[in-house]
Amino acid sequence: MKINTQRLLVGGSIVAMFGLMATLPFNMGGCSAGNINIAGMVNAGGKAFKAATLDARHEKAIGESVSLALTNDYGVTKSEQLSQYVVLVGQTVASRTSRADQPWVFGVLDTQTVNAFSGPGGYVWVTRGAIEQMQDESELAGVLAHEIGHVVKKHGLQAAQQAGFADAAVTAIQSNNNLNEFNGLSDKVVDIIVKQGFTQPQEFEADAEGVKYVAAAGYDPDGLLHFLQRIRQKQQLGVPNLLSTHPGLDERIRRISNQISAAGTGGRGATLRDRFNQYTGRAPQAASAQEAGAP
Amino acid sequence: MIGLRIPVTKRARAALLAAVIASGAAIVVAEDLTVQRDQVDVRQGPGLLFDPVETVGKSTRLQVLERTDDGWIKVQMPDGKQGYVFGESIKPAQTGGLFGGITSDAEASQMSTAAASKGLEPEAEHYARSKSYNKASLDQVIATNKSIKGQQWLKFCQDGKVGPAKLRGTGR
Repeated sequence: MKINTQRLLVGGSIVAMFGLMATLPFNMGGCSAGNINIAGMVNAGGKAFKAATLDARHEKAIGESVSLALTNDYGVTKSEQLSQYVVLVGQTVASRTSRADQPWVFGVLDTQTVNAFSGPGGYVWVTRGAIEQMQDESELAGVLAHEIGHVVKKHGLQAAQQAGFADAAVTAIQSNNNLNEFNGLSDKVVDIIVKQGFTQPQEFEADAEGVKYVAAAGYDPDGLLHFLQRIRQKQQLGVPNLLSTHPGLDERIRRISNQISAAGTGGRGATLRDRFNQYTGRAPQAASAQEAGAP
Repeated sequence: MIGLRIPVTKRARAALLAAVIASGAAIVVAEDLTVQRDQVDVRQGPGLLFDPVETVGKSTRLQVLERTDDGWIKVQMPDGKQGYVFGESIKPAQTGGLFGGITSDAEASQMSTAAASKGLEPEAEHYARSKSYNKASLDQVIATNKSIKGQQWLKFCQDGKVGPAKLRGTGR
């Protein structure tokens, strides 16, 4: 199955997070957009999510399925330097989570589309287009941290449950290693993560987690805020996009800003612009030019 | 001088590790912990990217030498070797009998997976075949992730003053 690019532009994990352009293919949409029944999610909150208790090996396998769908469609960057950089930043952030001793995989999808994704089990993806919109390492760390938050909170598996994947099927996967049921669960999770996006409450939670992780890792948590504000600003400049109807970005920016203010961590910590420019192969002057007019 | 006989790369690694160890304020406590999972990697440094010194099995008793607020604990193994384990993977020794099974099967499986972590799971391989997905790109990314070791990450953290407090020299 090839990912339907048009749908992709409307979904995604951080999906709600980006939408962008440049030369850029506009993308983005809203995790919280009408594709997912948020009320259903809330109602389901009182019930134990069996999918969220899937054992780690199967959780990893689901994450691999998501990653296969993404990499098959986009390919991955050919820049080993950029790949290693994203791994190093990702591991730095992941080291400050409750999953610090679990395997993580970080990668760069080779597309101008501005987006990022995460799959269960510790798979985190950011697009080349998203990195091109960033200005320093704290922004990259913030975006990766948001995705790490989805993984730590097991949003992908919860989403499958909310989308109607039956507990019985999870049992069949875990107890009987039923491959057909596994494929069914993978399809559900891929559909949600790659095409529909997470719910807005899940995006809020991933933001809140991510801000904590980056601050704990010594990065300026304002990085995520600056990135989202830049995306929002470009959106308001009139680029025809799906984000114009996305209700969540302003609210996410507001919540993140409040969280950082309450913690008193804003403006403190590393931003590492020079190192970001070095690893991404961006000439300093180009970076400076891009700064003009940016938040 | 012994150091002169150490190859440069190893000497550099030793110096880096010594710097890490020296940078943190050690909190010495007389405490024993017991491994609760099927197996736990005791690593050279406080991070997943550091190579294991040794893998110890369930019920192995470890002596706590130092704790960091990053969740890693420096321990001494029964054979005298020292290394780091993540706090979630071990429990106080005295609770071993009563709460020996306190960790879930999922957690135990996670640890096994972390130790193994070899390639794609069979279910994902099957999924890729059923969708006719080419897994070369994912294999490439996984290989890149595995190519990065603790020393490279350590230098990255120290250069940028980011990461676990102990690695970036704040000693917290």
